[in-house]
Amino acid sequence: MDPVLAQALAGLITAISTAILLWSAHRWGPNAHDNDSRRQELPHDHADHGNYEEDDSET
Amino acid sequence: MTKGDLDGWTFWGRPVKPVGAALVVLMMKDVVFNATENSPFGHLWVSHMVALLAAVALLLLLYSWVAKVQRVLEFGLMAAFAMYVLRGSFALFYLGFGAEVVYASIGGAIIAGGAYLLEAWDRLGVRVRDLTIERH
Repeated sequence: MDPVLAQALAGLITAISTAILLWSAHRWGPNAHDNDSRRQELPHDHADHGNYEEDDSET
Repeated sequence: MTKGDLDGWTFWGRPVKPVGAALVVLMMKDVVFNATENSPFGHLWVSHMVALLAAVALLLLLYSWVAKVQRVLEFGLMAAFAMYVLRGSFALFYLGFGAEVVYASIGGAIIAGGAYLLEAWDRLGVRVRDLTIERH
């Protein structure tokens, strides 16, 4: 195959496959369906202070 | 930690990631051999693009491990995946099915893409970059 055409096709395949990989990570991940809601449940304090202890105050 | 870490192992206060370490070595190899035009298609433009993608992946992988930035690691693995797909697909079109580099690239793409998914999906179903420490 002509090298110029081969390079163009290879670049196109690379762009498409990388986009599919990125999309699949969000589409089929274990938290794909509740990703946004789960993030909203995480208080910022946990990330800021590195303190992620179980909250047993209600038990 | 993520599924890409060796459970319980640390080095220099950082998680041990065997697949990431292997990709760092492979990216260094691909930068050198493609930038110096020692690859099977070294005289073509695509060889320099492969070298550039490998260099980007190498820098992102090293920086993410040293600085402990999970998201940068994911981008580094994605750049490594793109490099392998670019090299493999071009080799397939230009050299044909008989070229060894085609199958080496397919394997590399599977490793890099799989490592990306393992890093992006942690065992708790919570993306690691949202937390600074792991839950026990």
